[in-house]
Amino acid sequence: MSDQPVSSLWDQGITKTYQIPINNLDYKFIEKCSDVKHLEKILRILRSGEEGYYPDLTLFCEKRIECLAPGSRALRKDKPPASASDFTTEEWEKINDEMKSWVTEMKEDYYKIQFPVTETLHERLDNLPAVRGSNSCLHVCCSVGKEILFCCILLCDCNIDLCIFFTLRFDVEKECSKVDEVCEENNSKACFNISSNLPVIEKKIETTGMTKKERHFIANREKEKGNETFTIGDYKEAVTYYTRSISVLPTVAAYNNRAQAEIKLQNWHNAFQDCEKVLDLEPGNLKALMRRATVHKHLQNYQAAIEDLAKVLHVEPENVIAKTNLSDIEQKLKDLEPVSENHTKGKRILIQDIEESDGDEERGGNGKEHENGSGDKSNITNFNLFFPTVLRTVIPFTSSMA
Amino acid sequence: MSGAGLEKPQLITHVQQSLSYTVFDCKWVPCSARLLCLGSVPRGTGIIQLYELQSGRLSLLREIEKAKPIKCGTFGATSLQQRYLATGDFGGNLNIWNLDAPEIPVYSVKGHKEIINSIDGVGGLGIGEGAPEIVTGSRDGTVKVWDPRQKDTPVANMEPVQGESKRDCWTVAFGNAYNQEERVVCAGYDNGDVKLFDLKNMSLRWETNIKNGVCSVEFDRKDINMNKLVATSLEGKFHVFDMRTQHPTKGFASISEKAHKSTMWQVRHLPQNRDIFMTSGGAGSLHLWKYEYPAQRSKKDSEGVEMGVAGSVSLLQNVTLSTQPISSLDWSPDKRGLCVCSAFDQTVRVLIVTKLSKI
Repeated sequence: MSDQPVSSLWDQGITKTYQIPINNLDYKFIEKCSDVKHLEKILRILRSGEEGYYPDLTLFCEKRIECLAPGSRALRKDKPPASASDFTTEEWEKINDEMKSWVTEMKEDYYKIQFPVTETLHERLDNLPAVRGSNSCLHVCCSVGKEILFCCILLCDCNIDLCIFFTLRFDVEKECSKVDEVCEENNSKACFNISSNLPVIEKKIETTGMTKKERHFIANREKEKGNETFTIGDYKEAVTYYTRSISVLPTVAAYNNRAQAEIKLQNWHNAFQDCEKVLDLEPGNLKALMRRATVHKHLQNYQAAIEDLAKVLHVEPENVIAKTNLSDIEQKLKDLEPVSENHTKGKRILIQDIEESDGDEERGGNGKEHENGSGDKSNITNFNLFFPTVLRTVIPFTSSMA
Repeated sequence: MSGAGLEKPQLITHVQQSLSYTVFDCKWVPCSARLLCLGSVPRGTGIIQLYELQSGRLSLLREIEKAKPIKCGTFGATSLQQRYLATGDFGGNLNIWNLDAPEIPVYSVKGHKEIINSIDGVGGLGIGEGAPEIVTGSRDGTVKVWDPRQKDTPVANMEPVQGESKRDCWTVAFGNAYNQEERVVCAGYDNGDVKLFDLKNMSLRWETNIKNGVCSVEFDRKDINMNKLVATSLEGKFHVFDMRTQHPTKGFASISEKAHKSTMWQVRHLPQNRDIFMTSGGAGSLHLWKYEYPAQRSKKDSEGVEMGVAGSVSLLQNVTLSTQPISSLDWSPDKRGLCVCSAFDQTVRVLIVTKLSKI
């Protein structure tokens, strides 16, 4: 019944709204049509029911629009809020349990905060900056006034009803002369003040008089701000927020995140220090080990990187990133090897290199020495002499052919 | 429905409470599972009710009655330890209350000649550097900034020139409070004007007109270098402005989106993720949105001047809770996904939004 939305005659004219030919209210047409706006109109007509009630066709049309434009406004429907039936039993229980435990936790904490306000809170209140406008003076008012008049004229020209001017409450007795220079600056500032300077964000936060819970809250908030800026690629800003978080309450997460941001900025030494801090606080931290490995890789301390990655894989053998990094580094090491092969005349073939880490204190040493070796192309024997500490078996195979 | 529908956040009504008065605003009390409802009792006085979430329902802890109906409130300018509530009422009075001793306000001033439509605070709760301040916007067309340490007079006052017609200020918001000197106030008016006042330079930094009365403005975060501003209006439209790059003539880049089919009363950003926000509508619906940044946030125009590029907005979920407008919405700063909303059907609802951490 819902197949042919037309009566017995074929050419049925057009719909009341939108004036679309009735023939378009058809499965075949909708299937072939790729004009989203047209399909949306068809959907509206079908939903309104003015040409008849065709639930299957409406659904088909919706699916087609979803294929072409999932974000289309026509697909939005009014729905009631979700209830237990929209979730599995476990999910529903989990949600409810989480709420219960959170509520109990907050109740306990609330009574802890109810303790008398700390004395240092008053100290902090005294340390706040001065009330705005208490240093202003007459000159500012006049210069601002001129700018505002200008502003008003501009606004009238633009047909905007509201003109604004500002009154400043100030104490005339305060030092006006000191502010003269400030006035000069203000004069030169345009009404539409577009500052192209980078914002100056303080790296430390004043935490006198804060309870532990407050510190926790603020440190967490700064870290979240850092995460947000990191996600959109503002790594410098992210580092500032993480630094602020750490200045309030040093946490493993903040150090870890800052290390990652420093890696993106290619500040290898800063990243290294942050990784070290994390590993001081939490020796087995996998993220820190992986990040330190990345830093080592870029500083070309391949041996150290391999060790760090080995530790990660020991705990998480299936860690994909660690595995790829490891094979990457091994490849790099191999690439540095064949240099000695290239300059053998005749058929000097390097048969084996058995690398052994001799447990050297300076792990970086091996890597660096290795690099230096590859630059020395003249003599294999020299190669051996350079690195007496490296236990390596190199068997040069000289053929009789010159 | 398709499997992808299960990954979307779901909105659940956790608790619903009927009230016997018109509620205008609802707010979470920071660091607690308590919430406040502010409104107007039929006999014409104001009321503050303090509720606590307890085993799946709201239990009334306190009820405080005041002389004038209360329109709006904020905890924005108070410390986490004190948690004083600042309210604006129908008589134009700004009061700051200690909820443990609410008989006498801690601070009180008759700030405006007419009703205070909107209030915001910054510098408290660990949000925003610098001194705590409160801004109020009123039907008398003025926007005033107050410092609780200064009695009787505002520290800044933005008002129309003598002789000009005054427009109702419907909404105010603080922003850009990333260090001790910087701060801006954004105000929306009933004729569609959106104005940005810079409090450091005491100047009008930018303004625009979005053609319909502005019901609500909010910065995505008050305490960072201005990033995004959302302005909602009548006729079911909202605009998202990218505030990082200001062009000398074109101002800030923006995108707009239509939804709700009626007035968009409020917009509120999730405190734990600045790119997710919820809008509430006149038909009793809530829409949850996510903003996506463009590949390049700024580009050069034909004269080589930097201008911003706006991103895109996608709808994550929508629900219809009631037939009456949802006039007020507040996310809990302590639990991700928990929010409270109040509607003109004299009901306050606590909602849980699931799966927000996965976005």
